[in-house]
Amino acid sequence: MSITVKCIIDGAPAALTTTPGQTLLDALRDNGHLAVKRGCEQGTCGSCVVLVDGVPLYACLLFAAGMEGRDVTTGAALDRPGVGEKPHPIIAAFVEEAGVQCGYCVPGMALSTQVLLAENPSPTEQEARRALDGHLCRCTGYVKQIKAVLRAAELLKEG
Amino acid sequence: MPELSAFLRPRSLQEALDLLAEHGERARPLAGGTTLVFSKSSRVDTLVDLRGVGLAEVAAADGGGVTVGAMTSMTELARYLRANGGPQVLLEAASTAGTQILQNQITLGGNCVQVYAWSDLPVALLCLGGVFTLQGKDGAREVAAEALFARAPVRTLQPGELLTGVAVPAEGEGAGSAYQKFTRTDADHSLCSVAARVALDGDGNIADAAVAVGAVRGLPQLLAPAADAVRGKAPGAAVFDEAGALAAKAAKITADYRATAGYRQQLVATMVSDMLGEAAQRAGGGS
Repeated sequence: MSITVKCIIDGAPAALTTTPGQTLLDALRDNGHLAVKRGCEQGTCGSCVVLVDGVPLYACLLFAAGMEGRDVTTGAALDRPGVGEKPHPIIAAFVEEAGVQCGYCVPGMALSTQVLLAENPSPTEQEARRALDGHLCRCTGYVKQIKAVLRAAELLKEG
Repeated sequence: MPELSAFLRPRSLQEALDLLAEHGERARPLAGGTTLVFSKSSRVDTLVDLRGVGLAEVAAADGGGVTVGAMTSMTELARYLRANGGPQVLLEAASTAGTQILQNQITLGGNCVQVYAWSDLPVALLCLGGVFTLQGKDGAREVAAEALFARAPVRTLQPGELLTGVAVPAEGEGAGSAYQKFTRTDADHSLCSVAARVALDGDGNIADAAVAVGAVRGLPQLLAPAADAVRGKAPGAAVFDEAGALAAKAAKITADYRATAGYRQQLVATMVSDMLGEAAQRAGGGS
């Protein structure tokens, strides 16, 4: 049974076509929001993390039908696809620090980084580590991504 | 949940109770949903989403206690306790219940009703003597944590009844508490978890204590023999070790692929001693 859920996705009003039992992860991907990655599908790996009303949550553990009227942000919100356009400072920091290998975990990690830095513009390394709690990366060993969070803090301050 | 045919979003508690009554056995209430989302049950075709009904308040209660609404997330509970104070054991349980992201989603009500062996909040609330409110269409009733966790909580809840919150008594003057879980990695399920509370009298002796353990079998358990063993005594390593040994003897422990019963027994003994010591130290009596 198909239903339509009206919500905000990446800042724009959207109508998600879904079913009462579908997860937000499946609904977003089926509706073309492919920055949301499918990983473990059990709330462990963090590759499907989205912000719901500004709070990082696993899209694989949410029902799309519960998003009516809510504000959903995917990793695509940090994308700046224009030719010659400077990347978002958080993405630039992940690239600079080589925090991207396969890149599958980055949309989720970048969103958690954004939430951390909005609340705490000058995090310690410990706080950066904590912000990435709940995100798995099978490539980098995390060190570079923790550096990327700290570098993103600098870049955002430089403006 | 592929079999689902309706996802209902009531705007008030009353509306939620009406919907649950109307749809009966085929409906389930949805809180954080971190486990319900995996259900493949074909007996359930309707979810009643509780996100719009409130119940997300944490507030100071008479006598220094705190009341926590069922829809409060672990993140919000921890934030409140950090800002306003409250039992340390509750803060430590809430702030270690899964990863940071899971803590944004896990609710107090969900964690307590859908209790798993490794669930954190039930252990802390057992230790603190929390009292839950269960709300039905025809009124509310109170159930102590010890009674709620004596069996699977869904067996205590009547059809259509919702757990709406918990009242946590104040620790009181001269009291302290502590929570610890033992996991192989930070994000893994616990092999054993222990909550302890100690209250000291004017002479620095232990006036009252409580010990609860989780993750050593399906449901958390209060260990009265360990608490009885320290009552009336001066805090000290020997006293706490003895309590730990009694706890290991009293606890009902099962083995699974994560750990043998013998290993868990040693964890209980060590961790109960450690947490009683930590709680006593926080209460103001060194160990």
